[in-house]
Amino acid sequence: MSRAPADTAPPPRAMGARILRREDQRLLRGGGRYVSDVTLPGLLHGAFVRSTLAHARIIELDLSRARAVPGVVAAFGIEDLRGLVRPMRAISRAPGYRPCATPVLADGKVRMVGEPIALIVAESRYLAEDGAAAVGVKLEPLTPLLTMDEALADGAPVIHDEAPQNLFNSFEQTIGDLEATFAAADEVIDLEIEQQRYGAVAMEGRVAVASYSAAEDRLTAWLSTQVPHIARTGLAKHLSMPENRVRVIAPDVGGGFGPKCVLYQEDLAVCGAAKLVGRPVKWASDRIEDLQTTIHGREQTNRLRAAASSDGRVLAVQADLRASNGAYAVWPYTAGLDSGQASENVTGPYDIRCYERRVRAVVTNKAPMGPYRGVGRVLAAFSIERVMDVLADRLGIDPLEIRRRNLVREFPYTTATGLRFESGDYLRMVDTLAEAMDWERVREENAALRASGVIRGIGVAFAVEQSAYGAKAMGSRQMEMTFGYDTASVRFEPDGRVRVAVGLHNHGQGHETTIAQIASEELGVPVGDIDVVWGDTAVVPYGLGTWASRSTVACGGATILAAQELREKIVALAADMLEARPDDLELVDGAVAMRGSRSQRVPIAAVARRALHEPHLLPEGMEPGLEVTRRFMPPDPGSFAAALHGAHVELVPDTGHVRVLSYVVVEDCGTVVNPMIVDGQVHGGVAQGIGGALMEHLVYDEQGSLVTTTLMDYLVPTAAEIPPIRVLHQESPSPFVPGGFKGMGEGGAVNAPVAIVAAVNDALGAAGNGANHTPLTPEWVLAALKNMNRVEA
Amino acid sequence: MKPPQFDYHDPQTVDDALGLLAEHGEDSKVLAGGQSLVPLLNFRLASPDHLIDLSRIPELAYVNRSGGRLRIGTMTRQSTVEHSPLVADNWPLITEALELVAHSQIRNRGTVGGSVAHADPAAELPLVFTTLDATMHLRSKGGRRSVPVSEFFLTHLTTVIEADELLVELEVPPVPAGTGWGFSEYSRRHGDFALGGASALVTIEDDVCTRARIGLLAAADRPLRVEAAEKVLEGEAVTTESTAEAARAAVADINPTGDIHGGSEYRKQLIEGMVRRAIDKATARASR
Amino acid sequence: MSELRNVTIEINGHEYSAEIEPRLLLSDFIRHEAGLTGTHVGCEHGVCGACTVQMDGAPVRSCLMFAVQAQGHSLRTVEAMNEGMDGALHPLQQAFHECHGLQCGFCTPGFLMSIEPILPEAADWDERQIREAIAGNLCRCTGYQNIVLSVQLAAKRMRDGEIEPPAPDAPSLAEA
Repeated sequence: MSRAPADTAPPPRAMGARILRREDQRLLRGGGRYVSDVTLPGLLHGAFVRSTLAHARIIELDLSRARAVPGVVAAFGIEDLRGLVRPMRAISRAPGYRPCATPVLADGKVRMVGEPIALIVAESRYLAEDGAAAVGVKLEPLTPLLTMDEALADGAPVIHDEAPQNLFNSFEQTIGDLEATFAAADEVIDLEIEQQRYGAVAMEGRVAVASYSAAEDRLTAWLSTQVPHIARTGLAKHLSMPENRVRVIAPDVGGGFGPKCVLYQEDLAVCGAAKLVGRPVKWASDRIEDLQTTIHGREQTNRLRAAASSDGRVLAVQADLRASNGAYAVWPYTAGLDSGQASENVTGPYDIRCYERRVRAVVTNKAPMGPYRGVGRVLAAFSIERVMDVLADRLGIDPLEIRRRNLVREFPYTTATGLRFESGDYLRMVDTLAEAMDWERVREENAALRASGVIRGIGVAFAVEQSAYGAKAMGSRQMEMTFGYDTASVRFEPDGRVRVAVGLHNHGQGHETTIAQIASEELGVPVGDIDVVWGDTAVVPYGLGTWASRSTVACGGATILAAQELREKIVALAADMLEARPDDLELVDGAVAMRGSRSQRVPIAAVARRALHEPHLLPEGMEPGLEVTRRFMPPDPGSFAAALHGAHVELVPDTGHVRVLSYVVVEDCGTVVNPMIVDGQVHGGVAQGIGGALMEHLVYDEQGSLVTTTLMDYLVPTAAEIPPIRVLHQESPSPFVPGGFKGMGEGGAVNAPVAIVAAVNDALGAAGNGANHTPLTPEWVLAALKNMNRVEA
Repeated sequence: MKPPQFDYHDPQTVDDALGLLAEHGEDSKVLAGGQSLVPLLNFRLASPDHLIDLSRIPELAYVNRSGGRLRIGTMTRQSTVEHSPLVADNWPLITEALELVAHSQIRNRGTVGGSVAHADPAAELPLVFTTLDATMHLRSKGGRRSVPVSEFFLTHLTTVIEADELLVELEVPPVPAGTGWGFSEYSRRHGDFALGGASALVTIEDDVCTRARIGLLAAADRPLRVEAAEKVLEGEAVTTESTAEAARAAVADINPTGDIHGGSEYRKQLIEGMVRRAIDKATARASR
Repeated sequence: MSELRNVTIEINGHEYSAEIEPRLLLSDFIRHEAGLTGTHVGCEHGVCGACTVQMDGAPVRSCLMFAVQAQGHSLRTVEAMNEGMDGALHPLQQAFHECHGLQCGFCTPGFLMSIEPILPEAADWDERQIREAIAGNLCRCTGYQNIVLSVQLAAKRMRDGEIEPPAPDAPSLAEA
């Protein structure tokens, strides 16, 4: 191709421009470097022996036959690693939270199918699996507790001694006069919302490579993680090593979506094995392991009551939320995420002042749940959006109109649970969606089509996305560490090129491009001259990684602060070089120039050279170098983006298939750095949400074995199941964030399941008594269609 | 997820392959296209001592017509048959079904004989050859035999092929001139194994159906031809009512196995609908 | 260990020789013996498509073949996609770049290997046909929309010569 890449000729302003991604070049040429690509001299390969039972005592673990298998170098059980690797214990000191230990390998008891019991290390993965097959494990079954009802039943066996009643967490809170509000209400709505267990299923599974130098007592670990520094802290702590001797490298990562924020037993076991055998060890999860043990998401219920007035105002909500958190809490986030975050968001984007929440995180004999794109908030949106649709149906009000009557109108607005929506125009988003979907006409058409047997429906979901949690919001959880800031280090090299080192991790979000755009905006340096580095704790300052839609706000904000400070020094130095006053200078097109003058200017490269290679010419008292590191704490409790989704669906009468005809998203994430990337994030989130609405389900059998251990049974949607998605932007900058950014990486996955359910319910003519669960399988839809036909007949 | 150890054999001739089968029979697996067997090996759900790979036997890969009958060598790639004008012109039911087999990357490697010998009742090819009254030609070191398709499939993943035998050729009789065809199935995702489906051949003369063949996908432990449904159509004009009646008759006695993707009763309803779709397509395509 | 075999396999015009176990999957040979790590492994049971390579020009799952079976065949991987293009990207790669058809990049080589041979036909396909034709590869990041756009752009470009990339909110896709 003769065509020049579009990023060699940047548009006049980098901010807000559709600049093509820098990272594409290596990824498209097969030059991406993922952890499973890492090779080292003497590299060994690990395979885990895993529990086949959901709940059992370990009677015997015999590794002797495995150790005799040709090619096997070592085999480890808990007794081999106990002295080397401490159990993980995700801590929250919040009242009602009960920390429980996660041993590196099963210690006397297994609590879930797939729990690692032994690690076999061999010359190849093939041989390691041969070794694993030769391990003798005797298990004595205990009663598996698979549903929350079973786990919470009186007299149920206890899965963790530290968590009586099988509760990781429980608390209650009442805000406002609930009793009086319900007593005075015209309408009371009771719903039981239920979401199935599904998950991220990144195309790259988890991978760990560990290399230990005994001579230096140094550990280098390559991890497929979203949080290299948090992982480093975790490795140092649990391996009892000084943190400055541990290096974590997280190069290209093949999809994160939350579960790769967590430190896993396998990460620690692989590091322990590398220390013990004195050779580097790699473990790459296979798909069965990944589906069984990489944390799951979503399995939650909400018993919900809402009080409303006859004019369609929701006045109070009462929520009883439960999450099936599985067998272990995840380090360092605890088991409080799903139910806790759901409970904070149940009132949604609506002005509802009276709220009561009861929250329980339940221990069950399944894989742990934890951060997965939009954790907890899907259930929250599902709950309140169902309330809106049911109320609209009862009162004969249009679904968009009922939302207009309840949406927050004035900003900043602080919700009953203390979330502060700093800016926005939610009503205009409704108008935009109505116009984009041609709402009135489509509803009329759908009604007309019914006569000819075409069953179509349209539905919406509105949600606010809490992004970039603030430090106080995080601190209130009283975890072992409080997140809530991030880091950027901006420096000029002697040739005038810029390097920005950030604490985020880039695994698809395009940060190498967007952070360069942000820096370019501040420094007047072309995007092409700015290199963004990340993902190696030896290279970038301590940062908290990429999750919870935080990176553009936290690292983008830090980049702006650092660049602004650096800019002051550049101007001061240039002023000295030009013999001008700093106030008369500006940074444009890679130079510092006198305002209004074409001739009086000095290229930034010359300033950088002066700062780094001509220190003898620096002004009196100025320190050499052009490098600033700054940290930014996002505003508390976070920065709040908003999105309204609309789905138009058709139900196929002889299969129960839900065909998504069109899909529209109206998105407000404040200042858009790069619309192409924002759209891409929305598309991906919506696809995961449609999967969750219709087909994705991690199914356990009655004994607690995961049934969906392959991608033949766990249905990640293909291109053929995903509709075209139209994304419309509205920009309400955050007044509290440099640059005005709001995070938006998760939202697509939050609204989509809810919008699809609403559309299906509409198609069934059953908004009032429709589905309150996901997934809407073809079997369920076909039965619902038959039921509808019976009713209509 | 790596395959267990096995001894690998890649014979160059059918005779050599039959010799290896005679020697290792029960302890061996025949590797054709590998699109079903290799996953089973990777999962370690199969662990044969010997793997006999047929991919280096050129004499097993062909598509031709002789005596009016279609002959397909067992190792012919599915994509080869999918794109064969001979097949598309004369046995279009095969072409239509092949387009529904997984994805093109799988069909580039998967073989016709491999899929048939694997005998998955949810796979399209076993049903197609059942609907087409094919004959399966088997060979062993000791000899050869031909088995009508109606006797070939025994149950789930099991056929009459003995441990020392090889399916070498599939032979398909001509379809009466003017016969319409239809293959319909439903899967939750494009390209997945179907939850249910049906195939139909309908011959119409002077507006009367003179011959019908109806087969059901994923309805039983083997591909199922349903003569009760065929009889409903034969001898009458095909109407919406007779199609519906044939579909009802087709599923009257089936009890499909349910799983997490759909229960038995759902699948029964689904298959009934697929029979209607297949008959509708076949009827529309029949020249009268 | 089962008996080792010496194999020589042609990948991207180069011959790679190794002594291997017959059970070694082709995907592992490509990645670890030939060192061509652009081919990725996502499921090892033939569903995700990340390991797709071209064998004698046809896309196949390299996780569903043994390396020994590839001897005598000609393999092509993503690393050779823009061979002879003087360092520039292949039109399909370029279209992925311009349409933002990739995010984490893990599934991308498999998509490229699968799509390249169908480009001549795809110029005449509607969006539905493209979606079904690429359904043999899974992507978890993009929601496929920009991959579909990439296919449309590359196919039309290869047929018609240069055309501008579609707008990010392309109406051809947004209106179903």
